[in-house]
Amino acid sequence: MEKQTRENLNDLLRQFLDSAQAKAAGEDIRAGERLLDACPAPTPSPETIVRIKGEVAATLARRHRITLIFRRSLVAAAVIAFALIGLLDRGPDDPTNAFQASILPAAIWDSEDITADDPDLVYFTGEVRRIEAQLQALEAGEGEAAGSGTVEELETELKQIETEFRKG
Amino acid sequence: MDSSVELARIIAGCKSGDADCFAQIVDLYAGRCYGYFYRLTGDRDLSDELLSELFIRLVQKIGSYKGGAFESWLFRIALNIFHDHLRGKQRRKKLVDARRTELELEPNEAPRSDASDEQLDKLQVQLNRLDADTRELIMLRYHSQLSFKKIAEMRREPIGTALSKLHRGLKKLREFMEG
Repeated sequence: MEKQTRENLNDLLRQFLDSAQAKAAGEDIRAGERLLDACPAPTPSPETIVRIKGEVAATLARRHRITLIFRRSLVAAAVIAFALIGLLDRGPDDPTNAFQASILPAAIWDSEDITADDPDLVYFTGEVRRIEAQLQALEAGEGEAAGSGTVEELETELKQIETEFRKG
Repeated sequence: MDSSVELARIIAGCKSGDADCFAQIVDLYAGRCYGYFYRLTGDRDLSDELLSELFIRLVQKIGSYKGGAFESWLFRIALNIFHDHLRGKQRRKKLVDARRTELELEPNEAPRSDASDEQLDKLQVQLNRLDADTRELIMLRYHSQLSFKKIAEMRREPIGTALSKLHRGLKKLREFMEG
């Protein structure tokens, strides 16, 4: 076996030993290494080399798959994270987007005579007055002639109208 | 092309996950690393296993290689793999049993006709008479071809200590072999 580091052996030994000792030690080391050269270690069989190359290739393929899965997972996680951030952190409300609505139409709000301008109120007021007139007629003994209902029926009708009025 | 430039190109290919570049690294270093493991374990099957583990770990760790002597980095991994192996109780027990069986059986084995094979086995037996630390140092120096400075750094010991241990170890090994 070719030695790449033999050249510096004498110099190295002289750093620790005197010249004669360094020379003797160098000879011993070289003799020992010649002995090892004379008895080379066995080499791996061609089958072993082929098997190892196969194992290396399989390991590389496995690592490649794992890396691919990891990167895809990372991208998916990043997309989910961005989506969540987008949903949760929408920033301060924009006053220009505020929607305002009145529970009363502007015409009625500005009206000086609601009973005349609100159609619902006009209708219910008319109904109440009509029933009042019927009641008065019944009390005056004109019941049979004025209508077909009894006092109780009229009162019930009046209550229904009041209820409808309150519900709006 | 300069071999160091070629090696740098192969390593860059490995870093980008090129299987062909890893195959070239296997071709370049499998022999030396296998020899290192074999001389430390004396077991071909186990050396196959450790060699395989080395290159799988190389695939896993190539991203952490930041330049410098590639052999130093590679053999540091090999050294760690061997130490991991020793730390595994089951494996250690298996190794010790296997070595014991091998040593006990060896004198009864059929005589070998190939003198070099006989000498090769003799070296393995005599290596095992050295203490584990010295054996590891000798094999690391021989198979990695690294400088003493690098080896001392890897082993986290003064360079003089590494040099002294190697000198004594090789001298003793030669005496064992001649004795």
